[in-house]
Amino acid sequence: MPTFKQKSFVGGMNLLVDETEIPDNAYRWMINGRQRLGTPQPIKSHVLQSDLPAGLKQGIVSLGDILIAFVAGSAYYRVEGNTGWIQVADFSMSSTAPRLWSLAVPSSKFNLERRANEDSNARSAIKIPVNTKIAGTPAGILVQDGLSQPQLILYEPVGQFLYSRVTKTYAQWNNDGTSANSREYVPIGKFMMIQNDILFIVAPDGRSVYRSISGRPLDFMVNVDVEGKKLASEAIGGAASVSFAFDYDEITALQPVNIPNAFLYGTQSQVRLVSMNFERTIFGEPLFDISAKIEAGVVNEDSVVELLGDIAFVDYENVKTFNAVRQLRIEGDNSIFSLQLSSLVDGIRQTAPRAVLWDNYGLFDINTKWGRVMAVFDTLLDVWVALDITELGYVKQFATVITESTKSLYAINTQNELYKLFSGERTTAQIMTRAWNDDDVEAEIKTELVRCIFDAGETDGTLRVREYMNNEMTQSDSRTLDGKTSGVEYPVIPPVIPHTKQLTNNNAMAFDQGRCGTKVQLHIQWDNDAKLHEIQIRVNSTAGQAAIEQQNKVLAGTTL
Amino acid sequence: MTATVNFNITELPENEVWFANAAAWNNYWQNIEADVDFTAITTTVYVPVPYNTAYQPIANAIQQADGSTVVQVFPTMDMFTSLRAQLTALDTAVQTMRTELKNAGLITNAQA
Repeated sequence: MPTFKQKSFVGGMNLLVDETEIPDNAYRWMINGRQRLGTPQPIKSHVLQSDLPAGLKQGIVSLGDILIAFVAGSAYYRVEGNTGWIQVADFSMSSTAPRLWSLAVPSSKFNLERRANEDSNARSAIKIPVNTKIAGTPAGILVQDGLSQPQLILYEPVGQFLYSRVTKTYAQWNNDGTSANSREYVPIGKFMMIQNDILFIVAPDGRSVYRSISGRPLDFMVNVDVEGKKLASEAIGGAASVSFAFDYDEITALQPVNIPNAFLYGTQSQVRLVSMNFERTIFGEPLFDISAKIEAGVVNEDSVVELLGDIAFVDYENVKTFNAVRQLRIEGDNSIFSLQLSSLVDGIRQTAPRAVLWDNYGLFDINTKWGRVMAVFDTLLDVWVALDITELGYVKQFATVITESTKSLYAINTQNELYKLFSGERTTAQIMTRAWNDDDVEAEIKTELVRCIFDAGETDGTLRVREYMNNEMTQSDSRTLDGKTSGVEYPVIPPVIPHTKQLTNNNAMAFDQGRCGTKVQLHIQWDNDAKLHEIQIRVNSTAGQAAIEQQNKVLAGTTL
Repeated sequence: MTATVNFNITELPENEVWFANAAAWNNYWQNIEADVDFTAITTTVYVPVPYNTAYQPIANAIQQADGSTVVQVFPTMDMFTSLRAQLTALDTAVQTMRTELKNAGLITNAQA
């Protein structure tokens, strides 16, 4: 009687090959589970944050241990671990804009006056007279809605609260000002990026990128005259006069990469790796060269994430990777990264994908044949490990909040809900194993006994196992998974009664009511924090020239 | 009243599993859009009964003892009859419309 066993699951999901060809340490798919150490365990559920004021959820951003949420044009913040949301004073932006983009900007480093060269050549080096210090720009969170003048959220250290003010326009930039914020000019735009102390803002029409002065994130007055003053109008001397673009397509992503002076510039049809050229300048600011061009598109700015040095992004067909350091030309569909996922997304167009790196997992909220899922890539095991299908639905944005002792992941979705991810009770995990068959092609197998061995969890749970013979469900059984007793806390004072609950759940189930077949597969489902340690299937094997099913059909007189 | 509702449902692709759990089922129905076509209620045509603007009031000039003249203006019976006919037609039309709306299920009460 052969016995099939599986003791490790580090191989991850394998959706490419036939079930019988899946490696011994892999599995077909897993729903709502993780197995970093080779023992699958259900994830924790997401907890709805119902105390956030109702309304259109336009964005979330974190600042250390503070989470800020933008709701219907207002902003609210909460310190991690506290309850209740505090409204950010004086913050008011569009209440109907579907999205508010935000970025933490540092204070300015360069606080000297800039003047164009007397030769009136914009390509000449800028002049920086000595003893011409001007006011710096503060650090804060810059917020854009693409429609109205951006706002800056600041921290008041004395009162310890967040407040907001409107940033200054071109008209308000002061030619002779030296007082605080007098040399501030921030154009209206959409999503943003900081690289090399330059703030980049995508224009409202999405077709060009504005750039600030190096070292002055809130000062976009790049274009100045020989006296260091702004030109007569924003149309002549504003941010658009020194903006850049590489083609007509709408810009869908702008992201720093892990090499100096470079960033990713994405559209729906191309990804460019762009480097700053400090030899070619305009008003003393670097111009840009294309270092590499990849024939793949990026759907949006929220679907790009760095995975251990590689840049992963979602295009309209699949999740792809790009290595900036090697300037690797992505082969897209042919790379191992994309290949494993291709059977999930083949023929499915990606709309509004989202991505985040969390706990060394790349989480990709994408459309698949399974519906909307969060595909989970373990960067340490370098495999796709699971599909999370939860009430989270369609994610709009992720944000990570970090305290001294904890790290929390939040997300808002298209149902205008805010969730704290992986922070509740255990969900129900499902795993579809590989299929086993006898090495002899003439042999057929019939299950006798199934054993699922778990490292017991802290709480009780329910295990259900379903047998699939030749891809057809034939029988199922369920058991209780007993939780283990927690340890006795210090100080241990006698009498101490030893626990009688087992630390290992060894569940043997008689699966002898099924039928014969060529290959057997198990669907295992459980809902506590027990870890699946090992699977054993004991089968009877019979050999014959004709399959038993075939023989039965002949005897029954049915056509084959 | 009748309406036709067409849900724009995402086509289910071929797969070994369609809905892995309850959340998958709920997520499938999220953001589903629908087109609704209402069939108009059949109503009678209201034919307006206009007021006859040709009718003019009567102006009586009364000579006073001191020689001055006081003019008093009175509406005529024809004017009143024309106005009443218009009002009656409007009243009938409103009641008919309310009855038709009630019969179509859009309002709970027509008139007493």
